[in-house]
Amino acid sequence: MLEKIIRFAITHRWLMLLLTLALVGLGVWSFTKLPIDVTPDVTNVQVQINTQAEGYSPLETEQRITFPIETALAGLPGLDYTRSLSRYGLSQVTVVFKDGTDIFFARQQVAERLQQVRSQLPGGMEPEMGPIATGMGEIFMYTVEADAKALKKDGTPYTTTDLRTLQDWVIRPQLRNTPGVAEVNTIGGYERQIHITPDPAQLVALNLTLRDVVSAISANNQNVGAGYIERNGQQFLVRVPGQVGDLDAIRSIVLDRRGGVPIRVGDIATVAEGRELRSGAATQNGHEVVLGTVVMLVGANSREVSQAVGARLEAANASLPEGVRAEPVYDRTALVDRTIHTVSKNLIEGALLVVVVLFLLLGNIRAALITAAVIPLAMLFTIMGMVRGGVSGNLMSLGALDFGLIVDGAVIIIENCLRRFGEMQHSLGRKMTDEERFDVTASATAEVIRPSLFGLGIIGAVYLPIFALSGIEGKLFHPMAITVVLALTGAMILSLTFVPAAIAVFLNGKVEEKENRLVAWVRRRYEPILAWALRRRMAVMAGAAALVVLSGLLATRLGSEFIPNLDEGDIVIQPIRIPGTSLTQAIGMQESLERTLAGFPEVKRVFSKLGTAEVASDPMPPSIGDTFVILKPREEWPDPRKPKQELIEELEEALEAIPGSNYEISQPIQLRTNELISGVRADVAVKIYGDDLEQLVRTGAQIQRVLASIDGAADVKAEQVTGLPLLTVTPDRAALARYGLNPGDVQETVATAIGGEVAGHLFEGDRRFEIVVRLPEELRQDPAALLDLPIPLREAEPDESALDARWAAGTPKTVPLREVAQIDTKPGPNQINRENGKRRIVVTANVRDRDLGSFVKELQERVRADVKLPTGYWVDYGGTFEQLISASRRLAIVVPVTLVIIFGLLFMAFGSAKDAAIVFSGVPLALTGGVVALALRGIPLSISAGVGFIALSGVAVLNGLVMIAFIRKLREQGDPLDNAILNGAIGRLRPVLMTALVASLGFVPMALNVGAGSEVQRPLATVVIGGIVSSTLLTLIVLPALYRWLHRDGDIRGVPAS
Amino acid sequence: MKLHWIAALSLAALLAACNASSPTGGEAGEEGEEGEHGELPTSTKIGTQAAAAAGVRVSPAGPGEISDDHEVQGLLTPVDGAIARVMARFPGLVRALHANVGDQVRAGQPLATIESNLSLTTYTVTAPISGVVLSRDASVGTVAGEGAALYEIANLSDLWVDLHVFGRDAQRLRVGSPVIVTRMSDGVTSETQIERILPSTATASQSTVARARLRNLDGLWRPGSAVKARVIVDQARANLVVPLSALQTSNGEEVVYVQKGETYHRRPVKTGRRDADTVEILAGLKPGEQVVVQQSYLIKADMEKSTAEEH
Repeated sequence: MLEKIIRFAITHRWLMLLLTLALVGLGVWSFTKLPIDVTPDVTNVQVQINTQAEGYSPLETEQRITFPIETALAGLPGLDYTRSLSRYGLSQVTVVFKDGTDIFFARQQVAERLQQVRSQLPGGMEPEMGPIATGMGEIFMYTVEADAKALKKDGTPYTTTDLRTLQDWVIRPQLRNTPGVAEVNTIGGYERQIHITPDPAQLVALNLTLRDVVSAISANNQNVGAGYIERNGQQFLVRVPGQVGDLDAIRSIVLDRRGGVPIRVGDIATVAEGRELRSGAATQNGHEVVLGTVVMLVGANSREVSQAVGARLEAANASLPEGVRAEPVYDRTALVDRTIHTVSKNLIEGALLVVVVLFLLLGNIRAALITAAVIPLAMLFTIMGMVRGGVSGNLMSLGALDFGLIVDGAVIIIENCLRRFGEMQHSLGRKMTDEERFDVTASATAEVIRPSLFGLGIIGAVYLPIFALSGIEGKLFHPMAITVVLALTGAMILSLTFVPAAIAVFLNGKVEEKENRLVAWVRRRYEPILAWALRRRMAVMAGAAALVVLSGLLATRLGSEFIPNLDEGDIVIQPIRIPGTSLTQAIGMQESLERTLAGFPEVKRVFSKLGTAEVASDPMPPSIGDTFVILKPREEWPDPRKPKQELIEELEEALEAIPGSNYEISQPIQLRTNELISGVRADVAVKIYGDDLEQLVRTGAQIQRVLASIDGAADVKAEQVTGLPLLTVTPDRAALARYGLNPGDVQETVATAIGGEVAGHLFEGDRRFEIVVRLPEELRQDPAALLDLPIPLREAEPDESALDARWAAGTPKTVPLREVAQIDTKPGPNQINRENGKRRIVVTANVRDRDLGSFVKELQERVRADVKLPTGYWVDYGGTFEQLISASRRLAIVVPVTLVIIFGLLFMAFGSAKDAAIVFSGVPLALTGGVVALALRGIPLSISAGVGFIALSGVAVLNGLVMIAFIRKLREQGDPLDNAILNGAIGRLRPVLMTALVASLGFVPMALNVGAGSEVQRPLATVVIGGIVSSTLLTLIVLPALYRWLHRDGDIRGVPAS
Repeated sequence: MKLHWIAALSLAALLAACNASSPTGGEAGEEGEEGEHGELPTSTKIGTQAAAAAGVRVSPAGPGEISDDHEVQGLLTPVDGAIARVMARFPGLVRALHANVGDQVRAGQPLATIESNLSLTTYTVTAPISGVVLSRDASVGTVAGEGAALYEIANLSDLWVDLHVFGRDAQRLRVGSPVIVTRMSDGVTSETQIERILPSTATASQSTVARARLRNLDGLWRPGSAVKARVIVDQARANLVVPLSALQTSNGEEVVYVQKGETYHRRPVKTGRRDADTVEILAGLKPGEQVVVQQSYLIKADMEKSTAEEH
């Protein structure tokens, strides 16, 4: 069957080459369609619902907004769980759907439910769904800045409010419609607002209230359409404009008429441009800026979108006033280009090395080129598959591809063909005819195709356990497994079709089949060693077994890391300050932080987001910020080979000296993804559910003590939910009753005075700005002035005890706030977290030097015994331990099954359990070299090292397979056992060396890499290089010895393989 | 045999990789940060330079004055006794009027000539007091009736400020308490004292009038206009005060931060009276200690940062 395919390929060799050309075309076309990003997207399927609740404290937000929304969302199809947080001014409900749910379906469901719940929310509250984006979404950021010398038309310098206005009304509209952009989110500066700030004393004097001002504004700012009239065949639209056009128009709005004198807004209030009460700010190199973040739609091509955005931004710059510029500060294109660079470097270097090695060992440049051609072809095949399968190109999926391993099959075929060509020429004593050559090609290929296909199949099978991973690990590693399997399949198909066809077409003429000196020299050294190994086979095998045991012990002493940290090139430092830190204070603290960071020679620029942006997709309080540290290209560093970890340590050290903040260090994509997943990242988490926040905090503290006392617990932490200072104005009902007031009167006045009330909009062409009525800033900020705030009294009966009828009008119509309310400050809840519709707090811990399972068991027992939960409260256990345990369980089934499958494949290949076992034994010995290499370089065990081991087992099996098949063939031809082994081993010396050299040399640049993708590639390359050495030794020395020992009775059992 | 080896080894490797994993990303900065919730550190060390760069300032605690002042609303009224209503003694025809609204008049200055209905002779009406003409309610040719005012004259060199004080302030205010009166139109202020507190309380607003006398030196204080006033309702000396900017709330108690060299100590204090910018310290602090008066929040932030964590 296989031989038929090969013969078909040779007969229709031109067709094959044409098809290959078509593959190239398709592949290149696919490449343009391949979404390329830096890391795989691990975000779950989720919909965020943000509700801005201007002025609401966490308690009110939860009670009035979060709760009804959460309740409405219960029971959605495909729902995994909901979680929510209620903060000052913001309710965020995150609905997480089961993996695989269509995001648009999910959003549709959520939208329907939101429609229903809208009527239950307080007036003016609009729940909105977050952008259709994932953790990979923030692809482009830019700052809007003015030159220090640039002046506006009126001669004043640009303020952050002006810049924000330009961002909102000039830049953003130009970017928002770029294909692939879901959202342009703004943070920093102040949204322009028109502030009407009445002097409370004036209000009192004129017996007006804030409410009067608000209603006067709204009554004076309407445009009305009045239908149309027809006249002389023409149609006239009737319009009654009444909108205010500018600040002067607002000032002249009449509030009341007293004794013939109109009282205008301008008489009692200052009307001016003011600053909004903002929830976030942005800074760059220590000063405030306006920062725009472009969010990419789910599934778009980040490189294309960010390039398009960059071009649009450049165009938008032309429409900005002189001296103002929008500057890109973070551009995913750069990272993506680095990824592409890494991958293409691997590809080119791999191909070059293969050509050189093959040329050196085969002495035939054409053969070398044919083999090398398999690399780009397999690559293009892989890309086609990735585009079809929706796998994005990134450091995980492409960075770890090893082309040396992929061409192994082709190498073996070419080598065998050349050897046979040489033999044939030798026996014929002349050049072969075409027919003869085609025939030899077919039979030579068929001779080794079976073992090499089995080998590739086995390598593919070894990747099965990776497909068993689920959750984040799964999302991270599935693409890697998929691409490797794709590349192997591609190589397999090419070995069957393109390789024989190309050999048939191009390897004509006299084929040099002379053993070159290098191989001959190695062979002369090898022969005595092999003979010795066969004699002392027991000792060799015992030595091998000892080596395996030792390296097994060594493996347990290597550190381990489950998820590798993909280097994105840039750093994010999150300064974390105590809850309640004000935005202004945080900006002040940010200044010294940014100046320190910018002082490093490796740092290109530093910019930060503090608090929450306009679209609250990342709801941070003002006490937390994201400080982006953009690094210069490595070439510009003082020491271009300085590891990033070292730089981070230096940064951390410098930051320690700045008082007032804690820092968490991360990377842009990683940070955003973690925020979105927001699962508990600690090993063990105890979640306490209940009603009363204080009780939850108390129980949490108890559980924290219990947790800390258990052996192996580290980093025990209780979630911080309190600590936000609240200024509470409690209406005094008794006092209010004396004045005939309701608490509502106090609430309304305080809300308008401090928070402000939107009385309408001021339109300037397309731009619209809110008109806000509130107290002057100097009074708002002063708690003492708050106490003097006048609360309007109701109209009363004429006062019988008035001093004099004449001055009766002078009796106060207001009462100061201090008389009717108590004002005090005390800490309140910082944020309220809920999960699945119930308040909860979380206590977390990591587990060190102890088995997770027993830890959790002990924890559960101790909590049950020592913590008394009030009725209506319950605990739940979560954390990554769940995932680890389930992953371990799954692997415990999948790994043995995989091993059985491999053994089954080997058994199919040989029809002999004994031979299958011999080949199989190659795996552990191959692994020893990898373990030793890891230990020597101090690299911990990781999945990516694991992938290296997997690849290694493949090589070992492949070589073993080919060699054993060859020996069996010799024995079938009637050679005695010892001769067959000796000749077989020596005959396979060249291909074994070749595959080993190709695979290991191809990895040398990767092993030494410190740039993009190095964290995935370095362990993998290290394992493979180390393993190849041991694997080659095994194949050449231990395998023959083992074969000799197992076949000591001297005859072959079972059916021959061919 | 061999097979088991392989299975065991692969499993061991994979499971080891799973079990002992500690997520490395995102939490790098949390190392060495074991601060237990609820047990705050009581001191922190900040380098002199870093503190100066951050704007931290200290000053010694000492005695000071606490004066609690409130802003109240007031009205200007003419002083009782300094206002005169000029009438015609005998009804009759107004023949001539000699003064207009706003004219300054002296006591005895003729204001109007009236032809009496009784005697049919003219007589002159003169100003009873010196002052300014507030209103002129007659015109030439009309008959001035008995008891009808022709002019209103007031002496505005002194004015009363009627301040509306509420609730407890009415009890605490004393005659002689200082008052700063501000004109709303231009913000000019004038200092004076409470002269008396009227005995009754207005029912609707539950306010009492505290009255002060104001010298109308520039003549721009006009009766009938509303003014703002700050009354000092309580004034006392205290042995130990700190600016309010030094006071922070931490873990439910009020604290100040005391600098000793480069170390800052947390000092829970018991506070007494306070006004808009000063607070009296009753316990917890000794006079002369260097208290952080600017950027005290930064010290608090630094001390408590171990409790700050990601949302």
